Amino acid sequence: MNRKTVMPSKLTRRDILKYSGGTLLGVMLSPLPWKLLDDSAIWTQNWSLTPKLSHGPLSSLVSRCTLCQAGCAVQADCVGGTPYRLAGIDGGLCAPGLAGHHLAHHPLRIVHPHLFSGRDDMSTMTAVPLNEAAAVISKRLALRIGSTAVLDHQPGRPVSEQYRTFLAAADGLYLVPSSREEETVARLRAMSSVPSHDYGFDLENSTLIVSFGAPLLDGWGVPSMMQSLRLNGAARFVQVDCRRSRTAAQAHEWLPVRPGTERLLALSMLNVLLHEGLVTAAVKRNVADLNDALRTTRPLTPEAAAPVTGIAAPAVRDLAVQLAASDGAVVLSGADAGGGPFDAETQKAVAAINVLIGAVGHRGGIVRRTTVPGIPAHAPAMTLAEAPDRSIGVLFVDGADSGYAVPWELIERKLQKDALVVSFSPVLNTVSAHADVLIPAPALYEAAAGIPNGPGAPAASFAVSMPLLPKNEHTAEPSDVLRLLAAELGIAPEFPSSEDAAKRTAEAVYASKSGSVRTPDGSVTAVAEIGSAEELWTLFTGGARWTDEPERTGAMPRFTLGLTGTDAAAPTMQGLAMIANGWRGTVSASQISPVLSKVFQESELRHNAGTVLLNPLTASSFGLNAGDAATVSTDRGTMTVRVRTDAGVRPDTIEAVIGPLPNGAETPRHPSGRTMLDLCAVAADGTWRITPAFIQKA
Amino acid sequence: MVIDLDRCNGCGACAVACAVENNVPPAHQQANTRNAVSLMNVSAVSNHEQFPAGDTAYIPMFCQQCENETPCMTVCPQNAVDVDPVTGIVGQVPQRCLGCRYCMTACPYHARTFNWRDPEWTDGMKTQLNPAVAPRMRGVVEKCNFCHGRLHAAREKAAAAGRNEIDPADYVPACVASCPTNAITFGDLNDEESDVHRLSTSEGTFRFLARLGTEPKVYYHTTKPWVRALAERSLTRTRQEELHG
Repeated sequence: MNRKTVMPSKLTRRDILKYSGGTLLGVMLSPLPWKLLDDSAIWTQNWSLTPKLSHGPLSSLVSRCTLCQAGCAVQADCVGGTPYRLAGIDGGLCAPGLAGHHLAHHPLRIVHPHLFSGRDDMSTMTAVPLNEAAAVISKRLALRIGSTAVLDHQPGRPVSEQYRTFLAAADGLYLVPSSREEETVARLRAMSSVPSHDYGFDLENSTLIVSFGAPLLDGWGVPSMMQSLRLNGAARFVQVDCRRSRTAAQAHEWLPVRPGTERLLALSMLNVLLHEGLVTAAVKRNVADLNDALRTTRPLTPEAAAPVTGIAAPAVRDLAVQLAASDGAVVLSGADAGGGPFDAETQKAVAAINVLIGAVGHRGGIVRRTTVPGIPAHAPAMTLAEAPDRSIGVLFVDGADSGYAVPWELIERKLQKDALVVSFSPVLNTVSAHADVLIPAPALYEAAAGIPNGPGAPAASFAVSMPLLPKNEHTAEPSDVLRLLAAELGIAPEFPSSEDAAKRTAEAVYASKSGSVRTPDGSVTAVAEIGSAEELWTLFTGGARWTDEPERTGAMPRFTLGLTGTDAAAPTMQGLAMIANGWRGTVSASQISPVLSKVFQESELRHNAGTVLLNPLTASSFGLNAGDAATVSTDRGTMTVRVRTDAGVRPDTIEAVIGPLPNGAETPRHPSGRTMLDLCAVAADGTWRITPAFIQKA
Repeated sequence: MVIDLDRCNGCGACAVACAVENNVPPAHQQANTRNAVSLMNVSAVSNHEQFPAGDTAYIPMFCQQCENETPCMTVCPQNAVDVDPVTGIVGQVPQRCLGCRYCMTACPYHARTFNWRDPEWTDGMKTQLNPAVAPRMRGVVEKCNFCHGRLHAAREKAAAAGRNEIDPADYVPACVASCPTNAITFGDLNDEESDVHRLSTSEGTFRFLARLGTEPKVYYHTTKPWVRALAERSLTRTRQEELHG
């Protein structure tokens, strides 16, 4: 019988199962399921939640970063005219600078003028037109109650001159932050018989750089240049610091002075210089109060100071000898970004060391510098701390970022009861959140800006930052506001825009025929060889920087050191010493791009606000472990913090990080309503470096 | 790549430059070190000596570009890990990734991160993303690929100029370009004339977890013995090593 394959007359359940199973097996042996798996991965990765990238022609622009006064040259790679990537030219950009183009779109960006009703009540911010905001200010100015003042976060810019012009008509106060790179220079000028002489640090030619607290290797000055100095080996860095800061860790030598005893240490170094024959006759002739200095420092020998400062006498003596013997030594003091400046007496003692070792006017030390043409020379400006308490009726707070923390308590102390605070900040931060009127200036890279001397620079210089982003139409430059207010003060509205002001400075530089211009590619041209002011302006807009000739040293001025003694006794304190600290450009009133979370929140490289560091021995004595929540109390209040432990932290201290909040928690205030800065005790002299504190497990 | 740990000052510029270059989203509020999306992670390590004797080093850690039996490639069920036979770069293809995270388990350097959430940027920041790098969605793993976008751009430039070989100056990863202390040296390890080859064979240069035998192409250099000792710290010695050293 022939076998034939015949179709069954009816399909049974078994058949269906057989065919289904066979189909399934066959499909599994085919590429289909794997292709589907692949394709579903691709399909699901192109859904609407994934951002679409910008399209457009690719281009490259040059500008300069104005997050700080270093004014680093920047190459911006753009797509469709929008910058997507920044890179430093002729030196690196710092971490905040690399993401500076994001600040125009920061979550806390403000683009309209606002009025706040109730200074501390952010929920009642009302957007108003510029004229209305200006009218509120005019009305208060018209009352003429209290002084009018401006707190300028980046002094020396063309806009700073506009502030001074405005204040001259208002008989007001021009104030600068207490925390700044040039505090030693400012002290020297105050000691000098010719305070109009301006100075800068000639660090590129220094052989020995001694820093009292200044974060030279962690954001100070021009960061890439400072790192280059450290690594090229020409200069030896000695850091005097009560904690193992980043700079202390990188320095060639670290003197771990006890907190609050830096002044005694400086005086003991002066003792060695003055009483062990290390001051030359030429220098002695230029010290007006030499006998007073001798008398003041006589008892403060390194041996007497050692038990208090914690620095052994031989080390102090050794350092003083090195300073006197080095050709190109310089000593400077500086504020910690979060911890604020030293007190005036400590600053004076440090500045005095420079006088006695002959660093003033010496290559590698502190050299005279000229002023930028078109920007008049001024006497050292009053700091915020030096302003009389309860004197200010209207305070304008400049919108630039000084990079340093400013406790609101320090500002509030200077205000009268019904003072009006006007902020030009483009973002809500811990200072602008306290304002009554917020008139946001353009954000970084949204407007042209003149950039004067880099911090502590040895020569007068000028550069221009050109915009990379369109300016928001509702923002207002400070000059726009001053123009509106000028009528109230009866002054002609001669307040050019920041770009026009920068152009005028460029014209003045051209007219001076002095100095040279260096373009980002490294070529240098003398100003005298440049054909026209327009040509010079073109160079500036292409990222060039003008640097003047060194100031020809005339007769050395006489210095009055004005030293006052101190007891060689350890400061007493109840509780632990809370040492506030931070990273320049990321503290309180600064805003940083959200991607800086890679450095803060998403790693342990730096710490967010609300973090304290304890030595493990100190932590365990309070029953605390790393990661615990704890409560820190000072006479200013209480805060819950997160504990981290590090054996490198000085025992019996609390290192309180003044830093940014985690992304998404960005209100200018800590969720508890206060920041660590609010817990710091601001002394009468405006310092808050050390605060007695108590800690316990939360 | 060779990283000089004595020059690294932990500034974090490399981590930020990497995030900007590769469209890595910023952290959300609940983000922490464990769920971070970060292709380049710089860690601070200490010698645990008591104050004031303590010392700190900063270690940038990212994909070590393993040469031998690349662990992540070996385990990936999706062929989402691709080793370029020419450059040796271990690439990640997010479009193929199905998010099983097997590669993260396999990676001995914890160099891979997982997108637990969709990336979020402010509207304005979305216009500032690098057009050469596709953003990744949630559910995929990502890692350092030595700035593939820059490699492609260098290859296009070479092709446009009629060259087969790229100019090394045209291909510099973002971390290398941004480092202010020039702590990172990048180049062709096989080119004996190159700085990176010279540094990789110099005294004081080591690789992390070298005993695992993955032959990472990222070297580290330091003169500090305590930092070098960290390289093998997490590995227990095998019986053979105990017996034979």
